[in-house]
Amino acid sequence: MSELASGTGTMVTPRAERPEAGPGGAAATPAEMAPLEVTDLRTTFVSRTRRTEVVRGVSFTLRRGETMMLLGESGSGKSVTARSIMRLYGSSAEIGGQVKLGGRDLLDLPEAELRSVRGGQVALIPQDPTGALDPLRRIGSQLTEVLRVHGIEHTRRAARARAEELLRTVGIPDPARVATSFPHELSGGMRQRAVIALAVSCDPQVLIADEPTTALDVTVQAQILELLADLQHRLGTAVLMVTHDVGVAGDFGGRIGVMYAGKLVEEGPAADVLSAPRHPYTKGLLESLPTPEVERGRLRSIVGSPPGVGEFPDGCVFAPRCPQAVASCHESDPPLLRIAPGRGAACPVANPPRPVDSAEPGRAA
Amino acid sequence: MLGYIGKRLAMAIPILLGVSLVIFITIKIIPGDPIASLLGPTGTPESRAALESRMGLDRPLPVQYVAWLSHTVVGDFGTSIARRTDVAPMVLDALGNTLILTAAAAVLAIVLGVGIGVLTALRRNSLAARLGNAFALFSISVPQYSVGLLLIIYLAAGAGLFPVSGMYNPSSGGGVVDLFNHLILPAATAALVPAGIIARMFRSAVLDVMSQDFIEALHSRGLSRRRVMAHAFHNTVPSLLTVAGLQIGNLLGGVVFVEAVFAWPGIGLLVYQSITQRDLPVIQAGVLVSAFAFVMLNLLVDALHGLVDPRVRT
Amino acid sequence: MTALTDVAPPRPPAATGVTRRRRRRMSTTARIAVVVVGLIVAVAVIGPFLVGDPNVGDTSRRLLAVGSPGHVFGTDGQGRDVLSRLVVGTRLSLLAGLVPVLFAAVLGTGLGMTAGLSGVWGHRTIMRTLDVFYAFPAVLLAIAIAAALGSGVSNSIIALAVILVPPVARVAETETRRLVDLDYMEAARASGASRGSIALRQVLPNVAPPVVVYCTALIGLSIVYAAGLSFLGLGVSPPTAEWGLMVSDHTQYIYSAPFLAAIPALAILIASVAFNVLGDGLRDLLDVRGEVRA
Ligand SMILES: Nc1ncnc2c1ncn2[C@@H]1O[C@H](COP(=O)(O)OP(=O)(O)OP(=O)(O)O)[C@@H](O)[C@H]1O
Ligand code: SF4
Ligand SMILES: [Mg+2]
Repeated sequence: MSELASGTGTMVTPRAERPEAGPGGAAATPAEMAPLEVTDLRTTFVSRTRRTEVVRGVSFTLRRGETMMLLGESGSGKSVTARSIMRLYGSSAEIGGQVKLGGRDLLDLPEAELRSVRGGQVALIPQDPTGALDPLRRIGSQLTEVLRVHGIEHTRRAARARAEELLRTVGIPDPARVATSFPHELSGGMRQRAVIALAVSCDPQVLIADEPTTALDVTVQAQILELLADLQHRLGTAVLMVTHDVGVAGDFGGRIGVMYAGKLVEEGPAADVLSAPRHPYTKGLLESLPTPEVERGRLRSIVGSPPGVGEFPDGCVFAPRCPQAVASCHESDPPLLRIAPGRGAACPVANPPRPVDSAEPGRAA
Repeated sequence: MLGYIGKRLAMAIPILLGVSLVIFITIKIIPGDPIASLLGPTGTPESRAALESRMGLDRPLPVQYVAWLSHTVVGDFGTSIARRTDVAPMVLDALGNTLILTAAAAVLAIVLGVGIGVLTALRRNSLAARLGNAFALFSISVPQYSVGLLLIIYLAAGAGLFPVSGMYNPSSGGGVVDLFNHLILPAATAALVPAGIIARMFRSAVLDVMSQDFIEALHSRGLSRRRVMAHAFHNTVPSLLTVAGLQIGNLLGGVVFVEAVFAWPGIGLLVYQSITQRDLPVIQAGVLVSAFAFVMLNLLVDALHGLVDPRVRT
Repeated sequence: MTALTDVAPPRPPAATGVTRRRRRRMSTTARIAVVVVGLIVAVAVIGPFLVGDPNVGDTSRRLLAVGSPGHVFGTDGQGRDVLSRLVVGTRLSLLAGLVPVLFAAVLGTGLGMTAGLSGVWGHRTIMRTLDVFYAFPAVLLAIAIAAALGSGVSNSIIALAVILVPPVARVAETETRRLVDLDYMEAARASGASRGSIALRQVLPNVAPPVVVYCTALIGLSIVYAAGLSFLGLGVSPPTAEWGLMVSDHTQYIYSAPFLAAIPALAILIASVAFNVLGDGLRDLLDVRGEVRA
């Protein structure tokens, strides 16, 4: 449970500086062991003329302080997965499945409770920091608004002081100046730091970061990733990070979920998945990356292109492009299979069932 | 902020000079021979030359322009041909009345336009939104002079609800209530076109802001729908200011028809009457002060814009 | 950095409107507008041959009501058939609105493209000059010019053209600047194409759609203004049949024959709405962004 709820936080001390906030610092209750459980998440966009299912049964568990990377090509449904967890699509999408946080299903919460979860327990860091800030409001006022809406601070003065501390926490050297600045007066990196300050302002248990560095300069990218890792370590927050950058995924560690056409096709510890992929798609993906020896443009890449939304074939979605495909692949869609402790892959061909580790299905139906 | 306003002021000066030049040129392009018409059939070449030099017409054009401009900036607009009196007081009186009508129409247009714009943007497929869209479409296409006439026919003359014309009832001796009564129909007529334009522009402004990323970001921070809408509307203010400023400016011209129809004693009516009398000094002075008012209005809008939007005041 | 997008097909470039122009359909309303505009043009062309002389009146049959036998729309104060005058007046009313827009389209596009393609000083000179015209309330400027030139339809056309050029030029300039910023213009320049050929081959085809859309809607406005100028006594002179003049003529009888003034007014409204809707429809069809308005 967040400390805000337990009321132990003092007026202006950010959680980062509180001793019990580190990993393993607080007494571990079952709820804290598994803050976020996503089960068979399905997102269908509905318009007047058609329905398109974009996320098609994604399941994973994110424990306290843990990191989960969603890796996949453009259009594979990573961002939609991340946003569906927070129900950010309103009435334009139907969302099925379960998103459990602390015993509650976020998909069933009434509006008012959902609002306190958003920003309070689950926070979002979007890709483009410029777009994430109201251009006409000072950074400080955007922070104090969130602090007061979530009941963290009740007076304007206290909220202002807290806002400046938060800005310092995210590595902004002159918080007083930045608090009175408008977004356009800051550099991209500073802006993203401000956005991160907003996201961590209410001590969230889960931080969802959707390609938090894509819109930034290369030099700033590393700094922001370092800040995120640092905050995660200090605050004990679980991080769900969307990226299409294998380098980022490798550096950040934690677990990786590889998405293809709205599904998780492989899951496991980052180092294992990247060094020994067990799904033909992941293999193709990693083989096609440029390395110092192989020049760009001369890569072995996966033939064909991913299916468009709503054009998913029967059977394995990767079958049309899969070098290992066999006849049965075109018949039924393989679920995510448990192939080793903590590892899953949705390909029975590359991972034939063995007597001991028999085809125990993953949690995806 | 002050520096920004100063810069805007400095930019207004060349524009005003340009405006005066355009008006001066319209005087010069008038076909016909003003001297001949002043002299009448009895004019001799000598008397002609004398008159020309007295009026300064024998000097080069730039000199004439400077002379004309130096009179104009001190408020000397010449003498009315038809009324044989000073143009300045006549035009300034009329300007005051026009500004009253314009202000009333502007308020109406902004209220209506914003209301319809919001409605059509947020309740896109409702019946009310359809009606709103239809209203916006028709009102921007409407010839104001005939709408004014229809209002006179049915509400003023027919139902007797409002006075037919003028600004005050001579027997009532004036007063705010009387002015208000006289104001309603012309203001409503004048407001139609700008209301439609503001509605359509504001609709796209709202849709544009609502589709921006920060709206989702605000939702993701747990703000209530009302708070998010407050941010959204705050962000539509700059475009509203721009559109409304332009439309109120255009009202200064559009009221000509309305004033002519409702006999509202403003610049428009003055100009209209002067057209039939070919009283050019009055027409030019009327256009000049309207343009001046327009430029001042733009300055005001720019200043407000700078207040609302930190990005423009750099 | 090693990124997955290296294997994925490159993302389509941000919608530029140049390389990718989605095909869209016109709405039903816009199709109706096409028909109405077609009808108006047909009446303007052949109408005068179908009805009687608009200037022949029988004063014993003054102010006949709408629906009178032989006079569907009644007669005016001089006993002239209103329908005939309306039909014959279509040609002049349409031309008085259309011709200024044509002038403005050509001149405005030329000025806007020149400003957009020339250097800082050329750009500044042209745009600042246009700003001067923006400083006038548009209608009033038209009235002043028309009043200075004297009444007559050609003078009203000149006056309207003057006030319509600046907004068209702005549209063309904005579009030109947008194109100049795109890479492919750079490519054209690098390949040695001359300025004139770039303007004609690269810029004009892209500037044309928004200008056409904008000008179509301007026709509606221009028809209203042109009729307005005649209403004020600055357009055609009596006894010519023209809608604005008819409105002002019929105004004398608003107490005895209130419908009379509404008939030409309605004609103006219908024509103006039709062109406005057509403009909206064209915008959807050509996928031009933005609101169409002066
Ligand atoms: N609001 C929406 N309405 C309808 N379809 C949507 C919406 N948002 C996303 N989609 C579709 O869902 C699919 C997945 O999109 P998503 O944004 O999740 O991709 P992604 O994996 O995040 O890719 P990228 O790396 O490009 O961000 C895309 O085909 C997209 O067109
Ligand atoms: S199931 Fe078949 S098609 Fe799908 S990834 Fe495995 S081998 Fe390829
Ligand atoms: Mg994405």
